[in-house]
Amino acid sequence: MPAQVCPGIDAQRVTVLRDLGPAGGTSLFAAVVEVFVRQSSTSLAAMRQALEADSSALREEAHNLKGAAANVGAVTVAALCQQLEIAVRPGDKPRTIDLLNELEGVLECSTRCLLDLSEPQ
Amino acid sequence: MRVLVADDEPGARLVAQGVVEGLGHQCVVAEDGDAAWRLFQQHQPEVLVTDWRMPGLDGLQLCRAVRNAERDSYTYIVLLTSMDRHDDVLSGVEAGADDYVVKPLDPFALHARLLVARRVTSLHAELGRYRAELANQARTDPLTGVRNRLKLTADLGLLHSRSERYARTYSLALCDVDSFKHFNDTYGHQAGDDALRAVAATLVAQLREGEGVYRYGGEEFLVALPEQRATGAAAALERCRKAVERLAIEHSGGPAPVLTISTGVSAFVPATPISSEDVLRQADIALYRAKSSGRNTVAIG
Repeated sequence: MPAQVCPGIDAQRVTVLRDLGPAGGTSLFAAVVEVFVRQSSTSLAAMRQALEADSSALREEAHNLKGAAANVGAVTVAALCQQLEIAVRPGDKPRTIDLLNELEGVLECSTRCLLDLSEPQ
Repeated sequence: MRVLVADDEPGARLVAQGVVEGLGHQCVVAEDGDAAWRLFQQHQPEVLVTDWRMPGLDGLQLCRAVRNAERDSYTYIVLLTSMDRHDDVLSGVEAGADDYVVKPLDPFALHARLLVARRVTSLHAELGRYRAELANQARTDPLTGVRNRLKLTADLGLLHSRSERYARTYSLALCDVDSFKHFNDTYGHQAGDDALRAVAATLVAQLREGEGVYRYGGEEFLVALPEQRATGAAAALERCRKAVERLAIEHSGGPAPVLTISTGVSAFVPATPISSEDVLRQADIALYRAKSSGRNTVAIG
């Protein structure tokens, strides 16, 4: 039985990654999830920090996280990052803060789901 | 195949590596453009799969660097790009990329590209081998296997200009098989060809590495001896003369009962520089003297 795929995760992408098979002993999917979880939490912290001072750093972080999220199938996280990239450009701070808060929630949910999916079955 | 994957995003790197290794290829990964360039030079991969935006060299610069560095090999380059960056793809292909794949990387898409890469790179490798073989053939005399006049023109030009610049000496020797027309008329052309092959092989065997033997004309060979004065060259060619004599190829119309060669030697001396054509002309005059003084001998011009 495959674990339940929650909204925000592209089930097809998860299947594709799982089919890629083992990488260095552990499953490749688990390894991809692991680096994503690590990367996304530092990325979020960096974005919060950049909020006050450096909009280009925030945009850069959002762009990178967008790529990493799309890679692992976290499509809603990727979509929010895209919106962040757009909101940051004209310096729409209230919108940026809203998006960051939303991103934090979605990221938590998606991360949990991905970790469940990457458990050996 | 050896496949180099360059991407600063660790997750994307893992996926690309999974695809490459899953297909049985060897994968080398780089975390940024500078590392990719280093690893490219170190591993000479058949395929480069590279991200567009990276720290250090970006995808575009990496494409250009790879194409500039290529000689006989060919690296198939696949660019990883975002869905909405058409301009990136075009400038990437202009910079030398062969194809592109949209991110997030779809294993199926990369699989297809690697199949094409295998076909294209093996074709290039085959062409490279043919090219090298043809280049070698174009500079080799087909009958005797020694170098031909085309190669002599290039080698002598180089030898002469180097000797002139660094004030070094060199010698040229012209060897001619004695009464070869008579030999052909008596023993037939097949025997004549065999004799030429035997003489060529003897010259090569008697001379040092770095001393070039060339088929100069029908039954004429030229020997180039870098760093040799005329007396040293004459001694080397005297060794050759004796060795040809020892082959003991029957020759009723020559100066001896066996096949022999006559040789004229001339040297380039930096103190009194002359052109390479003049060195050759003097060797020819010396050869004429060797012939007129009874053949089967070495004369210095």
